Amino acid sequence: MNVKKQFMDGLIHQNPVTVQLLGMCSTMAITTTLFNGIGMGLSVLVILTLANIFISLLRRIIPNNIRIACYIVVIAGFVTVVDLALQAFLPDLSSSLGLFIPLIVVNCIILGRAESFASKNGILASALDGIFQGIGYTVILVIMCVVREFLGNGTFGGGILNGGEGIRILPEGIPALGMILPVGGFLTLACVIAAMQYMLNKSKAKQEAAGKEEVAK
Amino acid sequence: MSESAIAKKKEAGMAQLVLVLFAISAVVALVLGLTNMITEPYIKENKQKVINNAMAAVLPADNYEKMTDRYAGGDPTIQDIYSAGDAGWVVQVKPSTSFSGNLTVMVGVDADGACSGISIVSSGETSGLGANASKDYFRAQFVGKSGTVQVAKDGGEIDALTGATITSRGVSEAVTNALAAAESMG
Repeated sequence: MNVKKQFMDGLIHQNPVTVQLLGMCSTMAITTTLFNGIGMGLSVLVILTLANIFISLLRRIIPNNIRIACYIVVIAGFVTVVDLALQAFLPDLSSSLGLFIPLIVVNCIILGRAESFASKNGILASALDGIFQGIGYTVILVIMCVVREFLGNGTFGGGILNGGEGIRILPEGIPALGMILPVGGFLTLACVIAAMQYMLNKSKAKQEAAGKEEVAK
Repeated sequence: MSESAIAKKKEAGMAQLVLVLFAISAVVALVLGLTNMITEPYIKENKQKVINNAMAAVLPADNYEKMTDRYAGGDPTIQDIYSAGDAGWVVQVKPSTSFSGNLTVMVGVDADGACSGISIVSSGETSGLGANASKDYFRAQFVGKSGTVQVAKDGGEIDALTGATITSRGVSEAVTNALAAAESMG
């Protein structure tokens, strides 16, 4: 088990949003204010970690041919627990995320990690995988929220700072409303993925160059 | 291996599948039941708070009395009617027109039968477009209106939020229905 590699995988090399391209729907839909992004990111992090631990724990008991059904029951259970908890203790967040909390059940990040990681690895590694993949998801959401909120609404920190209004950076009338709408989600996500791929390719090329030098010596 | 042995093995497999899925579902159901027990009072309280705030915003009064039982108008969009004493009525409406089917509007009706204010209790309208229904400039248009309220496109006086007018029509319908319901209450 390699904690550092798992961390870098979750954040960059196997980032759930920009590399695995999982959970696109929620990424597009809720990244309109910083509050939403952080709330959704942390909700997914908690659910993903709990589901990973549970599924890893049960991986020897669950028969192969009904594994997806078992995963979905476990995931749906945790999602509902988080949904009820948010409704009870963070009603503002719950009402602004709306349907997207229950929809985490079918968010492919959770099922994807259950299938490709938790069902094959130990409890500790699975828990770490949940936390790191959750962090990777949250980071991308926050980046998208900041960009879209700035360009689409002209504010920073909507929902949290300045009594929920956010700190106004651009005067009203200048921001392009389209950035808050789905079209802005696609544009922003495309730019984020492109930037990420550029960085990944660059570091890959560097590694290869270093490798060649080593061979030459 | 004889045929019956194979059949037996398959049967055992099936029983195992059923048992595992049943056990997992049972544990999850138990956890959900416990969570619901803990969170239910808080969720109820939060919902009540939202309704109380909305009522106070549309028609200030010392006390609101729920009188939904006395409503005999039969309009299915009317969800709740509260009496605000001498001040008038507060009506919670879920109009048939809305973008996502989740629009709930609280409408205040003063003693003269005119709209005293509206508040959006919950909505699943498009953010940036229909969701602007909760903004002051839109809501202020309804204050003082009576009779049938319509958007400008339908021949009324309400300036719609967008060209599609879905949410604006929904809110107009809610106000119209609320005014009619309040009138039927006397």
